[in-house]
Amino acid sequence: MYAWIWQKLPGAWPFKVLASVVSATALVALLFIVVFPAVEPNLPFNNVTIDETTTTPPAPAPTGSPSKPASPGTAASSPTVIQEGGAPTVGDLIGGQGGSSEGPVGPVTITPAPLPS
Amino acid sequence: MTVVIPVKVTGPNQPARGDRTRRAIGVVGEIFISLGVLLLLLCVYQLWWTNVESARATEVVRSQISNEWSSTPAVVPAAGPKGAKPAPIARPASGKGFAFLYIPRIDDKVWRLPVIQGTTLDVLAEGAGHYASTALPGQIGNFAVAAHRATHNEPFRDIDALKPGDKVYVETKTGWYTYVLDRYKIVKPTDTWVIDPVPGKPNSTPTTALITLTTCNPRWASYERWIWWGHMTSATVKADGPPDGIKANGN
Repeated sequence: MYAWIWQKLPGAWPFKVLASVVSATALVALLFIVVFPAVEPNLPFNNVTIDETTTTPPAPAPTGSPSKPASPGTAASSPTVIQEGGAPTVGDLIGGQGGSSEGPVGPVTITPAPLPS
Repeated sequence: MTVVIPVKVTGPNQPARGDRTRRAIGVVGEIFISLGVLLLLLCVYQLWWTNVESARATEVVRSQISNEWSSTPAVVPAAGPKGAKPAPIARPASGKGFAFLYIPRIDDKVWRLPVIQGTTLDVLAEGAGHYASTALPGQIGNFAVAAHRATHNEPFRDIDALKPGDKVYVETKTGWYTYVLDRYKIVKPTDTWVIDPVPGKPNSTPTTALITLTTCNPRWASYERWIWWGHMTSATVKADGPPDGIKANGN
């Protein structure tokens, strides 16, 4: 393959070397500027946000909406907590063990702040 | 073990089956080598180039925020006594930087880190992203931000080095807000309750100003999320100068 390309490149060998370097550089640039950024969102090691669909803020859903499969799923989420740390004294301040005693938790939230226009 | 490949010796103008097979194997080998180089380049892109690009983008946003703050006069609350509450800022437009984050414990990465409205990948490549539906700095409720822990300048690289009691400072156009970290938790990516106004208590009305930091866990495999929660301990106007923890750091 590469031998075939080498043969197809015109001119004497210094020009062939130059053409090879230029086209290889162009290829790498294309990868870095176009291909890799496009592929990146699908890679599994870059996600840092809660709920990957947060490009639009979750609208305040009506409380007690007909239970989607999300409700039992998130209600059972407490056992999946793997590790925990910090001062236990603030547990009541910020909600303890994922609110397992508070009924279903999940995307049904009340947002205090107005949504952006 | 020795693999013997029968090779038929033929004349130059008489391409034989053996030559074709060898050429085919050569092409397949070259394709594999090319794929290997492609994957190596992807690693170079992720581990190095995204950091270079994000460092530059962060610097741009940083100066945008600074310019904006200095070009339009801040709403100064009536020359009040020390301890006057800073004026609230307007809800920023999506993709707009509106605050700086400072964490002394990990100050090589989080010092004057821009906080930008929204949590899209474009935003996270420039700094920390603010969950648009959550409270603004200093507001009652939960000021929740996300940032990369690996690649793209990895602001929260050392999130696991933080300890309860560590300070987190947020600077807006009008004020300085000091938060103290309370506890962390490792949760599933779908546990959206962690950024609720009162995390874990979906229906209660918030009474305190909280902060939530989210990033990926484990660092290179992000199938979980690392969450830090903290609460606000003080809010001061810009005129009073930065908090002691900022001055002491000397950065």
